[in-house]
Amino acid sequence: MGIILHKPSKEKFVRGYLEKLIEKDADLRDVFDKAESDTERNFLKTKLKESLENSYDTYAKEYFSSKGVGSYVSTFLRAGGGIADAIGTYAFWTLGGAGFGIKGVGLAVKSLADLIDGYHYKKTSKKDEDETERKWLQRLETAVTRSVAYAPLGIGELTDFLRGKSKYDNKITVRALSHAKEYFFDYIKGERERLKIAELKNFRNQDYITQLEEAANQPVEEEVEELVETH
Amino acid sequence: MQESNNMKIKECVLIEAFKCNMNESVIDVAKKLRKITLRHIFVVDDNDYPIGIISIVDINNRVVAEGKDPKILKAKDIMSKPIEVIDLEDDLEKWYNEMIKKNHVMSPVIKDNKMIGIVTIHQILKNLK
Repeated sequence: MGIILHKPSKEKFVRGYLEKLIEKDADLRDVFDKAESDTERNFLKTKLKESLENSYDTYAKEYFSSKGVGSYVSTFLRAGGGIADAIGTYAFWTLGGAGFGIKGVGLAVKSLADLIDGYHYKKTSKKDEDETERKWLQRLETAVTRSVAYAPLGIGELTDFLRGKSKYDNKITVRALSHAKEYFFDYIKGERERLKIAELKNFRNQDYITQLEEAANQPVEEEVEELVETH
Repeated sequence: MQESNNMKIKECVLIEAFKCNMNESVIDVAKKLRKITLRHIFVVDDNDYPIGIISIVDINNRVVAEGKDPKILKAKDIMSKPIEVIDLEDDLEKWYNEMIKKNHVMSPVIKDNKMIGIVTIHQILKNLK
């Protein structure tokens, strides 16, 4: 799904993902590639934009707009925990067992940050039918990453750095994008009897056509040709 | 008004919206008309809703013959209004009757209150057969 934007406003969310989805998502790209004219393509784009807006309002707005003091506290704890964790790893390699203690403190502090972010996520995210499955996956992910934190060469710190608090932001964003796609395809399904639109380039005045425009002119379908002939 | 069974405007082949904004200068409108063989252009407001129509003859009669400056005049100053606006979901036969009655050869088609194309009387007739 590409790069995830953290804590996006509705405008940023829509602006950030509209073109990206059309370009990168194979299903959506297919729909846009089949658009028969610029008008239809623009219309589809408007619909996708509306789908993103609706999905953001339903699945992301509450989460992203209600991050208060807890967010700052968890960021602070996560940074502190990360430093202690890193020092613990260094101490383990230089001093031996004592490093485990410092590392343990770091992990505990980071777990507390996780707890704060997790509570906010739980409170504000909309429940889907796969919520139970996700909850278990989330617990499994926490258990695995916490265990990996004890792995040598700083693998744990790296894992936490990559994952961090953004795992909740990412879950919300991915879910909102997924539902936006659903909204859009629901619309497309209802519009299967696609509009037939003859492009204006079929009505060009040859006396005022540039070479560049002429080169861009595509062959027209039989029905469109017939329409052109009558006007 | 008679209802034709499930025959909607959206079943016609439309022409891509040939339009200009109401605040475009007449000279820009004339340039658009010069590039396309259609003899009418629809005027839309800032929300892309059709509010008027300008024909090549309008430019002759309302600008050139009056000695007015096409660089200063705007589309909204010379357009014919009001115009009949057809929704994509509208009944075909209803608009066939309306267009015949009013002697219109083409009308703007909207979807969600935005102009998406033009339907011609020829296409309506063809789909009514």
